[in-house]
Amino acid sequence: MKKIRALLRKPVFLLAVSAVLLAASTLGSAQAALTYYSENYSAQMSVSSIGVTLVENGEKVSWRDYEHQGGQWSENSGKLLQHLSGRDGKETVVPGKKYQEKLTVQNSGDIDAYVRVILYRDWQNPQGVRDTALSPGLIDLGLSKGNGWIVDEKASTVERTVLYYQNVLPAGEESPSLCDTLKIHSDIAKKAAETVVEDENGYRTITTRYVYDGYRFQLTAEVDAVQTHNAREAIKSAWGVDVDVAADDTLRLQ
Amino acid sequence: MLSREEDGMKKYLNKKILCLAGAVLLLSASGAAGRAMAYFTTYVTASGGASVSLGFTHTVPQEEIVDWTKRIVVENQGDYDCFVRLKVFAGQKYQEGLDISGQGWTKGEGDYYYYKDVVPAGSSVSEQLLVKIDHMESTEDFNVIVVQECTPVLYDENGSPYMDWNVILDSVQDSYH
Repeated sequence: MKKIRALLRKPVFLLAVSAVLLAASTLGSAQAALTYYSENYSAQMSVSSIGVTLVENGEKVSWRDYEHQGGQWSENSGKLLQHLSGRDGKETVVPGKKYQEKLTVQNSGDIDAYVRVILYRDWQNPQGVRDTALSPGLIDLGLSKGNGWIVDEKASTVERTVLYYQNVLPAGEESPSLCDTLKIHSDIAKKAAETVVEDENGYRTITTRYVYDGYRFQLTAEVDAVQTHNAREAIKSAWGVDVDVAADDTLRLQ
Repeated sequence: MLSREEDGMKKYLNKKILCLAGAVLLLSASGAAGRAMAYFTTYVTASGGASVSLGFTHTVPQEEIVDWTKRIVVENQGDYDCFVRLKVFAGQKYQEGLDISGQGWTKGEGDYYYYKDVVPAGSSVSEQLLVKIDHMESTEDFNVIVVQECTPVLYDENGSPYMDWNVILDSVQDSYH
């Protein structure tokens, strides 16, 4: 025992131990690298790169894919709801009417991934100022049910909806739609102000003005993707949420 | 027996080696941590918006009087599709002498005549409402007043259009003297 203590007190011994540890660590990496290249030798072109694309009504809107050649990200950030443009080029919606809004996620990378989507909704008045008095709940997205997308109720609010795709999204595949329709609830038209104008002949014109006329709603979709390898740790690290991964690789929120 | 200088030199060397050993350990530990943190992730965002179309629509009755019969159509001069309804008033003496008819027009709630179809922005109703007036050989002046109203097209849960006359967009009175 005394001998061990004496050894531990000697810096040369500690240095030697450190050197051995460092060497072992390097050796480990070298082994891992060798194994990696050995296993993938016959498929060298299939290097791992992650990518994700947001698709709206069949059209690719935004994407961010890692490209190994050049080691850069291929990305594009598009706009949603462009299909609502009217004859005058302005996007307008009529309350109560359902519009097609089919949102899906495509795995545009080379590796399988888990994906989630966060949808944000809010209102702006005609002057472009955000109005928190008008409920984002009036912006009704027809969320899909029973096709693999689940809502994280704990993380969702009236302004924000967090959805997870429970299944692994294989490379190159597209998920089922997370929502299909968009509708502004008719209740927005219930608040009105009335004005009466009488002309020189005594005829009256009664006009109703909607309080929320010209209000603009905004929809933002954020898509996150993470590797399936070590999924639990990767999701915790990337998204900060605790999940369980079942034997069939489906996600369960904790 | 070591001299004081030799003893000092040895302590200095020991400290140096100790620092070196610590640095090596830290380096190897940080290398391992780096590997553990490397996950493949990516993200993408998109946003967009649209204005809510709740503006005015303006409807104008177009009248033609032929042989004591008012032929009324309603033109939607606004920017939004709507439903229209008409109501005809006359003095009590002449009220019973009014004969109101027209294909596509149905008498309904509040004694209004409702047009069956949506009137698209920029177009008119396809069928006239005919108001035949019996002047009862009267020599007095009298008014026949037409009130027309429109309401925006609303949509139910299935996206089918419907009318809600609690929401009146435009109301115009016109009279025949």
